[in-house]
Amino acid sequence: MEKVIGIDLGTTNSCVAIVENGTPVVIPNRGGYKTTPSMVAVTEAGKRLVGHIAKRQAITNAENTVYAAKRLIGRKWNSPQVKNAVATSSYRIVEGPHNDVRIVLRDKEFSVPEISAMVLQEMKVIAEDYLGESVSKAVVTVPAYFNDNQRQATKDAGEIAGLDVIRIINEPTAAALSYGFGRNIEKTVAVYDFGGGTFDISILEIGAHGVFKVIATAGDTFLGGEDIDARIIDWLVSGFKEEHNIDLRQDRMALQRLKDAAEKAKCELSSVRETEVNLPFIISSGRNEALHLQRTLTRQTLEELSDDLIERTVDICKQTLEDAKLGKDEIEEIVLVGGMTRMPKIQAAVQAFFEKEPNKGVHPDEVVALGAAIQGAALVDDKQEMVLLDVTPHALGIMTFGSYFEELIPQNTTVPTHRTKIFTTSRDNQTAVKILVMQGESQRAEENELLGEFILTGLRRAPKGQVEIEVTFEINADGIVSVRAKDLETGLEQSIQVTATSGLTRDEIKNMMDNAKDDLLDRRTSEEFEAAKQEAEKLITEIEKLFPQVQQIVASSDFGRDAIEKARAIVEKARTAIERKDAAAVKEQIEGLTRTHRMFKGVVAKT
Amino acid sequence: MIVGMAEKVPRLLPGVDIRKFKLDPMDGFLLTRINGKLDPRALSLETGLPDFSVARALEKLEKLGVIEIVDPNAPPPAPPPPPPGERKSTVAKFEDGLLGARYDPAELLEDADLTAEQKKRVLDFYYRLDDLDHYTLLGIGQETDKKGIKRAYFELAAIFHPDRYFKKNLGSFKPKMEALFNRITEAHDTLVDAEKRAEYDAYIAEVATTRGMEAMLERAMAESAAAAAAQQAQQSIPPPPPSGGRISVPSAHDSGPSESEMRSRREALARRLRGGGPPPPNRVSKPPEPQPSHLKFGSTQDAMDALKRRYEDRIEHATQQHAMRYVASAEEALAKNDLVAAATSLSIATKFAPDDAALAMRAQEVKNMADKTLSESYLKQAQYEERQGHWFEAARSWQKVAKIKNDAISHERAANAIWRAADGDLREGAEHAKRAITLAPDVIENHMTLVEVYIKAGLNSSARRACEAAVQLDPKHVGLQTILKRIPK
Repeated sequence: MEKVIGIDLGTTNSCVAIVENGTPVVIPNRGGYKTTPSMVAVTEAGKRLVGHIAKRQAITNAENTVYAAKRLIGRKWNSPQVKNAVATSSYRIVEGPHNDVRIVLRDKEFSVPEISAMVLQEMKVIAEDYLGESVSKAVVTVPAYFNDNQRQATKDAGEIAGLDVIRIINEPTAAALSYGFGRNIEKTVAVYDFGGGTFDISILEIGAHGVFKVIATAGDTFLGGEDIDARIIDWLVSGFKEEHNIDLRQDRMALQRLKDAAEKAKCELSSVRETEVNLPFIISSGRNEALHLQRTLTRQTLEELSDDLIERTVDICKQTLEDAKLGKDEIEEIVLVGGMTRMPKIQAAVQAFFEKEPNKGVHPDEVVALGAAIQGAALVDDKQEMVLLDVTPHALGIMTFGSYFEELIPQNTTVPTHRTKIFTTSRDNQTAVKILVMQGESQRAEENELLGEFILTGLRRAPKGQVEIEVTFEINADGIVSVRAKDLETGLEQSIQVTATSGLTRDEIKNMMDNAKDDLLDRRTSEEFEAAKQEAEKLITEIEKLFPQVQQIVASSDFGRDAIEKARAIVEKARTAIERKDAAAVKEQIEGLTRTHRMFKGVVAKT
Repeated sequence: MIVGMAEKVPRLLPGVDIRKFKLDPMDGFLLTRINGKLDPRALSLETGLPDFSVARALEKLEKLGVIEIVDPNAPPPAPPPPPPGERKSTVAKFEDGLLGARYDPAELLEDADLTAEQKKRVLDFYYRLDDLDHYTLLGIGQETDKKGIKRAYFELAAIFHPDRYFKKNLGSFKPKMEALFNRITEAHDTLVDAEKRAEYDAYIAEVATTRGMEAMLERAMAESAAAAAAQQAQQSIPPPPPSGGRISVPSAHDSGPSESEMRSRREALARRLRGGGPPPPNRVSKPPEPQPSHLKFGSTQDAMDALKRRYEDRIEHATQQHAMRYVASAEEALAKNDLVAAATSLSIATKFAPDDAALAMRAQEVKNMADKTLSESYLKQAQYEERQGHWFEAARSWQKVAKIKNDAISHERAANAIWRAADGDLREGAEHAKRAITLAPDVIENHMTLVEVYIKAGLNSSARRACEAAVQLDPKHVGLQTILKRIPK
């Protein structure tokens, strides 16, 4: 039987494991460490470095050292996340030919999967050294909230690294597998996974016969330890600026040193109450002398800096419980995963929310790789009594007339699965429909991820709404999505197997949407829109009546001007939504309008 | 049925007093058919009850110790009933072949990386999906709590999840197993969600009521048949023939009994009457007439006449009693608002009192009411099933609605559901569509449905004819034109 390794491809660190004689074990690297930094560098001599060695030379070779590449994988160049990364990374990020992201190292462009492949290859080599034989199959983990494009890009990375990725599984799920493996328990477990780059929460049921069933999963793919590091960097940079009036961000090497120091300080503060950040000769003052950065960071300051981020994770937990229709008291165990869960404030927040002490029995850095190895063994070894019933983390559906997203497979549906819905034409004498396959939770199609598209032609000419088209979505056990559209009258059928890509731009999607608008299917409820529109317009009129008065009263303060700006923005957004005839978006703005209206009335009433 | 595969059959355990148990009418009805020879499949056919109802009832009866499930060729039951064993899981139950195999045994021969047992298990489940409700599918009772549901689901998921056979060659078993997994997941997801479970339970309850009604109807029919048979038996006690007529006892002679034989029989009868005749049936509650003695009769003929009168009295009396009994039970059922039982009882009563016009009217009236209730219930089921996309079940329900209401819409819906279902009976579908057309010839949809049925059945020339006939009605109908183009040449 062929061996399958489990790889936790992390944002900051990666880990590889295998099941040996029925026991999952983490494989240490040549340096004896159980985790390896997910860092890749190219030296001046053109030599490629991965892992600890890349990390060690990062400061002196900041521009050619890639870290946190996972945050870019499967993302589009013009996504806000990539924009953010371009601004904060010490390495150069450029646009690729397919609106994808490329990283420049020593004048050579690399795609993100290529970078990740270097890390995966390193993990493969670590495993091969340990096992003394070659390894070709792997289970790789991704954040639960990754979309299909990100998953596909991760799979591609595996392929580039010479690995057959037999399955992609979610990190919190892997953690639960490791937690429950071989224990013969029946429990409902929440996995709180706060890693370097992402936050995930999953709720699972562990039951008899080695069955692990995911009930719900959610997360934020741009919320992790890196964000807390960034808060510390901000704090250090702004303090330095106040003192010396120099922006350290302008210097890539200084920025890299700050990053290292921030991460180190953050880790230290998990065990001590305060720590010193000491970076001598951080930058030149411009007067032929170097300046030093020296500040004391207390645990309390760190907690204040990261408070809203932690709060965000708690909000996601709350939402996930609601989605799963579970009460806090029904969660029997909370498993903490990811380096960030070492932070006392986070442990306290989790405990306060779930009203239960979290389990600390698993190793937060190793548990995910162990779970991946367990899943790998379960797939290829008949003797392993374990089955994972996973869910689709995002809803799948199509775009309908008016740029609505019509869901076919809801979020958290157990896979494999298939669902069917019937649609009608939206125009008179329409002979073709374009099926845009999308993934996401927003009712507005353009906010979701486009996975693929195809056209069904040859429809009978008829008044709108008369031709029925049956759309079927199917997800198999390997997570592959196929979509079929069938004209119920003629029996004509079109289908695609959705292979996620990172090829299409937001603009392209937008263009496609504009072109396709007429050809799309109608599921719009116009009454709903009319009602929302009326309410919104009423509020807008009221607010605009009050504008001059309010402006007079509050114009003197920064706060007042800011509030006016915000109010204008809300009104603008509501107007756009009305123009687009987007009921959901209009409804969304009503809350803001109501608040603004109330505030304006309050201001006027006070004077 | 598979040759060479012995189907296990249920049979009554000896010495069991079934009145001790809490059974419902359906169980009772089923018990009347259990004879140690019919297997569950045959029982289902014979009773007209769906497979899963039979399976569930048998399981219950077996658990209660009323029946045992045995090999038909096994020796007769040992006197002490075996102690009730541990509750077997559903999986094991199907392996017992309780319901009989429904698949072509050739399917077991397909090359796939599965053991024969695994293949059997998949096929056993797969071909029953249409008949299994969520509870039966998971092998649990309706009262099972969330934990129990999950446990049952996990057990089945561990068997049917495609990952158990990762990268194995599963051939045609793969889509079947995915379908199975989908269904058990649907069952689980429905039952663990309080809201969805309530909706489903309401549906199941609706199904159960109507099935209970159906069972009761069957039972009542059986009872009335038995009553009629009993009457027949009474009549076949050789009655005195009208003078000169022939008695009804079959004769050994083709040419009919001879005059001398007739006489000797009459005499024998007269003797029996005078002497040791059988005691009068105890249900005759009339004060017993004085035992006739030969002294009273001047001749054999007198005795014969007396016998005839008494016999007719008795029959009439018994008939009236029967009618009265059924009317009484109808009233009882009416008081309980059980319209179907009432209607059935009344219709049986009218058979015993065919001349009672008032009774006939009353019976018709109650029957109409009962039909309305039943058809409403079926209608609700059909609609739920259509919503879930369960066309096979929807077809069944619509057919029942159509049977009662006999209106164009129900027939059309039935036909529609039949052709949409994966393996609907297209002949029946065509019948329904034709009926719909007869009832509402101007409604184009009815014609279109008939055409769809023909197309699905591959009867292209019939489809074309039907379509062309409809075009005559509405030459401009676009839908018809499109369908017409779609019919293969």
